[in-house]
Amino acid sequence: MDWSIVGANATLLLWGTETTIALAVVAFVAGSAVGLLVALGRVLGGRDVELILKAAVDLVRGSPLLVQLLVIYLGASAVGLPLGPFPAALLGLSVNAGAYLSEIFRGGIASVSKGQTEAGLALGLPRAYVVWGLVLPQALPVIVPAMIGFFIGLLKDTSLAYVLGLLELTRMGKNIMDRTFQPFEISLVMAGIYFALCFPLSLLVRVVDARLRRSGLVQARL
Amino acid sequence: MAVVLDNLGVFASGLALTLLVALSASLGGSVVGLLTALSRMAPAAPVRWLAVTYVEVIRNTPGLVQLFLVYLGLPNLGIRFSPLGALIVALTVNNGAYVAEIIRGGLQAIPKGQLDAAAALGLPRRVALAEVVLPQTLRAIHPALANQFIQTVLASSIGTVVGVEELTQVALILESRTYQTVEILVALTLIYVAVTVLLAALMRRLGHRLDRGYR
Amino acid sequence: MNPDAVSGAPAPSDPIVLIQGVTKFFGPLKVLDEVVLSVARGERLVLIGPSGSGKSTLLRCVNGLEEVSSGRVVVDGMVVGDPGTPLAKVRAEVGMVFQHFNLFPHKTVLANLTLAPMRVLGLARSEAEGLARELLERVGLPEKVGEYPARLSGGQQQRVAIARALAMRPKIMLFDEPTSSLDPELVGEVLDVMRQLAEDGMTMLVVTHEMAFAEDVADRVIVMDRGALVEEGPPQRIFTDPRTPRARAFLTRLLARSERHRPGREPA
Repeated sequence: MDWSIVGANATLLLWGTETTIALAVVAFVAGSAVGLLVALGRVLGGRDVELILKAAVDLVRGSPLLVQLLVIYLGASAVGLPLGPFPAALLGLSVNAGAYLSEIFRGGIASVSKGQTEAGLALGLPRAYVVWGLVLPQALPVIVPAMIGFFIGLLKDTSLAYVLGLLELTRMGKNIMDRTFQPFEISLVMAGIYFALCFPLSLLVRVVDARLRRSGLVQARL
Repeated sequence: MAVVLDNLGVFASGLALTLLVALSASLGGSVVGLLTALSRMAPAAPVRWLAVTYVEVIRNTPGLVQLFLVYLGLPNLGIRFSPLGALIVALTVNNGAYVAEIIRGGLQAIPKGQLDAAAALGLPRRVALAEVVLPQTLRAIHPALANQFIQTVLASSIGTVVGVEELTQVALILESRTYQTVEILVALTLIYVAVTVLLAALMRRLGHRLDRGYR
Repeated sequence: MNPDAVSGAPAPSDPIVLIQGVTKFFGPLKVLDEVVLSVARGERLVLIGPSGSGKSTLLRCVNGLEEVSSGRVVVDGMVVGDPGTPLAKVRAEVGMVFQHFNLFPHKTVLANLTLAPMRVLGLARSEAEGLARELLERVGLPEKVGEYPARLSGGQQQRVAIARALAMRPKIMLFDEPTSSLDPELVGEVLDVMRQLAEDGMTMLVVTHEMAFAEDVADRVIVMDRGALVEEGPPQRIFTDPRTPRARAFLTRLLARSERHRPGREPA
């Protein structure tokens, strides 16, 4: 086993890692914005809005991310508006993130006891304010750990941009493997880099979750 | 849409392989997951440590990289798999870690009083595990297990990267032959959605059967 | 103390439970402090005291659900926790009823009752089921044989739990606040079963706040506070004339509450 090629290709692996992180961060931010809008739309909007949004969310959650990336990349090209791999990956990851995050937001809102909503409404506060100003803040202790957890998933999911040829970490690593004929060492190193990115975040989720549980902000479900 | 209808057989074969892969990986993963979950409660520290490490490594690395490791990396060590074999092995190993965590969560959710009652009755550990702990764990985790299966169905699409002719790959081959990109990709997406919706409904039904009387 | 009590067959007049200088720590917290207690065969003992006094912990040391930090518990001649004595043997002699019933929710009432007799005592299914039906008859629930616990009221669940413990034919029954989780109108049916059990001669250790029950049934009442036995005596004497200040403080509070709720009492 020759580990020296790792050193020789360190810069390439670094670039790949940077692309991976950039994809994940941007998709996370965009997805959070979209997800929040969708979640609020479903909670506050009427039946029609809920049905349309539910269909959209179920569509995204019911098909593989890999397929969604291909749909956007190949589809855009087919309809005459070609997108490069990076924008296509970004769009695909953001839409996917939006759907999953909207479920996280919705779940968090649902976890806040119904009594809170009823108390707010009984005081005469408008529904939108009750959700935004009373329920959502109380949902944060449930939502935040879940969001961090999702971000970890997003970091891993960027590897699927491989199929678009985008030079994120996995594609970069594969190229190196093909050139150096040492797939074992390279894939191990790739795995190691992803692990180094994700594992600390996994620990963070546990710490945050435990901290919030202890703080009494998370109400025990009866 | 004619291209889709003309090639239903192609889609069907791809779907069949997808489901076969998902089923194998889920069954294998469940066995691995159960063994791992039990290992975490083992008296020997190295066994516990191994189980924890396995779970953490798998859950913090992407499935595609795991697949590459199995398909491309292991041959360096003399272990060769066919693309299909590698896909199933990688997904099984991947599943195992997630199932182990699901089981762990279920075990923690069992009220301590149940263990007290079993102990007070003098039930040996093995009997308590089989009669009291695992049945209740199963009833608690079957929704999560069902979801895990559906995720595996979706994850099987990475097989296209190594050439396994599951649903995504057959669709892409068709697309490259006929250039009917939009129709084929839309159909592909809808087939996945239909399959996951049906599977979810089926598993909810089975779940209710499991919960009868108990809830 | 008869040395035979710890080896070979104990003499019938020997205490069935011996607690010898038991101390128990939960981390830095001392929950039991050099407790010494002996329980005679057929005796009905009620343990009372403020929460945190260690009553439940003491009970749980008798069947080994809690390990003692120092001291010794001897049940029917067997030392609890002794490497030579499997806990299962001790637990076969000691039945326990819990505050939260702890019935197995995924099993029917019948299955709850037959599980341990079949798996631990080796009874055949027909034998175990016969025994189960007999016991259900005894606790007044023969028709609930095929029901799941979730369909039963709290009082019914607790009575089934008592039957389940009795199915092991124990020599001693431990009751850990058996009615504390029950709605008030369901308490009576459980206490009636316990009264009957006492009348039939079962050795009972009961942790409870039910004063009327203690007065009717207990041979001895023991007051615990902060891990120590503070006072003991016949219920009539303890409730009317507690001698130690800590027992007095606890009982005054307790009796004042139960006085208010005793039916038929003239309003002040």
